[in-house]
Amino acid sequence: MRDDSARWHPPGSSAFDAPGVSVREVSLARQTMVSGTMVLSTYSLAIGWPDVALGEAYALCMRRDRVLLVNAGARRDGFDPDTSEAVSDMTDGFAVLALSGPRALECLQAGAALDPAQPSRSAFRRVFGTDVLLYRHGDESTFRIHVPRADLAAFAAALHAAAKD
Amino acid sequence: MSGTRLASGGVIDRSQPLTFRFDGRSYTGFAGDTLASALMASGVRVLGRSFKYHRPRGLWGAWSDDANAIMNVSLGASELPNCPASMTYLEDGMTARAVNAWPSAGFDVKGGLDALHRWLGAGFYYKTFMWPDWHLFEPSIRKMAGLGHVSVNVSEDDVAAHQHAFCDVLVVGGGAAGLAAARAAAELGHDVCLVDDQRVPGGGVYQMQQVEGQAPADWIAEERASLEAAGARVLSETTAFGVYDHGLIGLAQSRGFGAAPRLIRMRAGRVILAAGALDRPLTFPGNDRPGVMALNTGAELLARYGTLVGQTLAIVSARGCDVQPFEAAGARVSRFDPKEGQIAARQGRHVTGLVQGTRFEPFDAVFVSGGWTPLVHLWRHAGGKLQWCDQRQAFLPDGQLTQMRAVGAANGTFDLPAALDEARAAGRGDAGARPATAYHVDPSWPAPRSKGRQWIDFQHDVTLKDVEVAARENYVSVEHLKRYTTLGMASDQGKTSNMAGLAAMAAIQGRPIPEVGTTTFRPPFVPVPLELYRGHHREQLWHPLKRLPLEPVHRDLGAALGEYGGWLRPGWYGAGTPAERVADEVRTARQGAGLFDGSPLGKIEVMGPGAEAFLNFVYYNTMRTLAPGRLRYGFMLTEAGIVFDDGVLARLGQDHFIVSCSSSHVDAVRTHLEAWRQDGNDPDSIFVHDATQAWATVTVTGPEAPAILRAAGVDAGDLAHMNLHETEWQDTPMRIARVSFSGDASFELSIRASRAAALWSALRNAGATPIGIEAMSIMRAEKGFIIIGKDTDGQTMPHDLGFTFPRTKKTAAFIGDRSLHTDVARAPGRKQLVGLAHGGDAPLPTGAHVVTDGASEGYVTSSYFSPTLDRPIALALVANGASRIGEAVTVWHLGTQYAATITMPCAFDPEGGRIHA
Amino acid sequence: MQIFSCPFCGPRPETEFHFIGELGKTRPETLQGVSDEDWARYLYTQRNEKGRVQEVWMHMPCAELFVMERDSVTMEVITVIALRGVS
Repeated sequence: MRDDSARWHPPGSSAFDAPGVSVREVSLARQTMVSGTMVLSTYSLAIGWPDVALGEAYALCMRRDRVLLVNAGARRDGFDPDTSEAVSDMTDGFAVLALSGPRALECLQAGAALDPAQPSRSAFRRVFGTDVLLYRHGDESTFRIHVPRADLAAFAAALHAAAKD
Repeated sequence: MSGTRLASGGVIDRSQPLTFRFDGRSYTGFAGDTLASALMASGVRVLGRSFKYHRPRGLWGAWSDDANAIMNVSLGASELPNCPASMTYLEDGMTARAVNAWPSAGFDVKGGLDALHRWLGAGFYYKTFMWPDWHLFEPSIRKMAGLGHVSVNVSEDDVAAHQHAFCDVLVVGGGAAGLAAARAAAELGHDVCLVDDQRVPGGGVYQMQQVEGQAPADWIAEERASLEAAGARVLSETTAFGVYDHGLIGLAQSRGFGAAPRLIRMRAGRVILAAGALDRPLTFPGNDRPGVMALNTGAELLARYGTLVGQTLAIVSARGCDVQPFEAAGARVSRFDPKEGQIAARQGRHVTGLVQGTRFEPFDAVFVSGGWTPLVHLWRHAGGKLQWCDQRQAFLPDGQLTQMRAVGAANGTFDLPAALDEARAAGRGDAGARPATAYHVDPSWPAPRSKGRQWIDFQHDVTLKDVEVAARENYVSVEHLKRYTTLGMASDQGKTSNMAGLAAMAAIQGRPIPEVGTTTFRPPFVPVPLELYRGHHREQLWHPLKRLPLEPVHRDLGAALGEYGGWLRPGWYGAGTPAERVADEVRTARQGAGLFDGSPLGKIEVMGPGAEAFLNFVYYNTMRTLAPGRLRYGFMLTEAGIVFDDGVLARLGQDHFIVSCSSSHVDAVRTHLEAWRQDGNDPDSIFVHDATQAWATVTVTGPEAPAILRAAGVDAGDLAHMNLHETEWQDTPMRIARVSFSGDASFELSIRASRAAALWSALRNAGATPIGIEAMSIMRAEKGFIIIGKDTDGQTMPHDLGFTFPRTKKTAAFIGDRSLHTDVARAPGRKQLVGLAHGGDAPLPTGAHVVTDGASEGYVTSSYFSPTLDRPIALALVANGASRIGEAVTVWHLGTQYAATITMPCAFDPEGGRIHA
Repeated sequence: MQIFSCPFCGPRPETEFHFIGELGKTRPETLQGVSDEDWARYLYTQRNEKGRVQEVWMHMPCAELFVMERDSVTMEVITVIALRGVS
């Protein structure tokens, strides 16, 4: 039985500005995880690496049979026998950060061997020890990162430390 | 002899004088100096003391090949131990102290140890300190051993930045070959990165009079400008310290004294190794005396630092030498040929002259070279082989590596024009064999059985005689030789000593050098601080905890937060004695209603037409018969039949289940499910979504729970125990599971994480009292409910916990089924879950053993004072425990015995009436 | 740091991967009666070969389970094969 409250900083905002890079929290209306054998054909434009997602509604490729739909219409959680898709509302499962600036890629490279020349079909990868969805959004130097909610504090702290170097 | 700083020459900036202190005295150097070069220029000759005998040591190497001048250096608030003076760039205000010497390197009170050398040879530890007991001697020997000391003021705040980087071509070494190779590659359009460990690239080029018709500095400037114009990156003060699996190169980039270097993990399409070569020592009596230094060191001090270390110089070189620069600087130079007879240094505290046969001459300094030794470390890290070259008397890179190519001196190409051609071809990616060379070295290796103390490892005081002792005692493999004598274990890791050591062993045994072989080359190439690897993995980022959506709410309530299974969770709330706070929380929850944050509880959704059969296979318990809207408690086993996880399975619909696995175990269970889903089951009909973090779960437990829910506007209907209800709360979907870990009526309310604070607040306002995980742990122990991994161990099977039915009655296959019917699973004496009651007021120590006839029969797994029952309670795993209820046993812990009675695991409300209330 | 290739995601650092087991561990039909010897072999016998090995790995971010053939001496990755269909 130990009180370690003082040893852990209360999590605050993840947004910060550092030379050459700025991080903002993004609030998305909905994130829907959809699995099914055919989802990659259904959502054939699902974003991988180093794809650039455009607009505010798009699909992210998570794996062979799974996508994360950003700002898609609401669907009921569970297995949909009509489409043979499994659906979970993950809106609150991932916190989303936007990372921009000329040093944005460099900051991410502090936490991952991220090579723009090495494509990947999924946007899922391990950055700063956390499995996140990482992709470019809007243009080639702006990134969005979907971080599992409980890992956000550590991820943001690591990103901040990298940005200060 | 005294140092002479010349009026011009070198890469130092004479307009920027820097003042520093060494061993208590003040000196001046210039910007661009190293600590070592500034001391040499100031006439200081004794820069350190050796490790064992405390012999005076001077500078041997001008860069990474010096293990003599090791210093504690401070600058402002930074103090670093064990800095190699030859690689520490001078800064104004630095204070340096030689390590292993007191009060100074020049006068060291332990210098008298050298007189005892006859008794301190190789293996003296093992032979001398055997009787009566090594531990008698250990403290004083440990105190004498070691080099620098860590300051109490040492900064913990140096954080090494980490970076991952990529390039087409990485060139290691910014000497002539490296610059030429990098330029050739860059001009073909490759993405090139050139790393050089010095502040000013150029390697040994500054020693030359002309390079391709240009002055050295002009040639270097032109090469560098051209390659940078072609887009190449140049990283100076950056050391390629290791090659790791699949071609990862570790780069340590200096960020100045006192700052942790930057670690760059470089992935290169190909690597051109142009690391150069080092002079190796000659082995002769007195060869360790200050003033005897590598020929290349004398030349570098002159070329880079404008310093001529003596007016009278002896040069003993097996590789030839251009004496013109030394003479042009004003020195009188005499050459000695090692082939013409045994050389010996005439010595006081530093070298005063040289004797060869009847010839004697006094000298200020002696420059020696036994020939060039190519720096093949990275080649070996990368898995490259070496071949022995008789002509060069050196090990050279042999064969091909797909990713790395050695050029220039690192490849044994010591002639400049040939090295430039070879490097440019490599830069372009052209194939090419090692060029022929006129370079030739006559063997001049250590001569066994010769007279005098001849040093092989300067820092660790390994002499030729020590190698002979090792050979006589049959430590003849180089790896044994190294460990028996400590040869090559100095901070230069054998850069100066290994070749002489293995050549000595070869000569003693009459074997050729390549047959003796080298020791293993391991990273790092030069010492790097541990901060380099640590990076930001410190403090809260060392082992980051998962954070609750409700953490701010808990903090406002004065929660004591701590780690529980990888999450930062409230242990209890409020100030005061923790045990009393926890007891209060238990009583409140038992009498009224407790409010508990169970958000980390696993919420893994298993969906699809194959989900039912899959879960029936994954669980020990029969899950096929679970009806929608119902909950069932069950175990997952490993194939070895060991309990892997426990929890409640909820069925929301025909094709929709939720696995509520242990809070600390979600990642492992998800992986377990995914592995079985994809291997042996139909992954197209089963989908596993880990939605744990999308949902927050708050539990209301206690007799007042139903009333609290009503007051908070939560529609639980008339939900019975082990049933599930899907509803909405304030227009947000909510899942209500009536399931109890406390033994009282309990409702687990799961809601979107972002709505958790509102729900928590509504429930508090309705009268529920926050309780932490400590109170919940006591309540579950009162009920005999287990925590996997705490109340079970690596041998616990479900029938050891009283869950025997599926083992004998389940008709479908399940993970671990066959393991429950082995001799081990059926054996008598298995440890079974029981309770323990005892008469004392204090709980039994967790981990205490149940002892019979001096042997352990099991141990206490959970133990608390129960506020509900007002007595201690305990759970234990005890041999045959289930059939020993009521038996008196002895519990033992650290010498204390307790009398206890074996009971049923459940100590509170065994009929279970409260759960349904 | 080794680079493994996920059949779906492509080359990734080894820290993203988790070793599952040696290839060729077919689960016996436990309802059919399995001898102690066969079950023990399934549970505990590892080939632990030097040189070429075939193993089952999982790429943790995308949970892809696949077969990797690699050399346990040189660390060379020879092939990766998806357990499911063609990538």
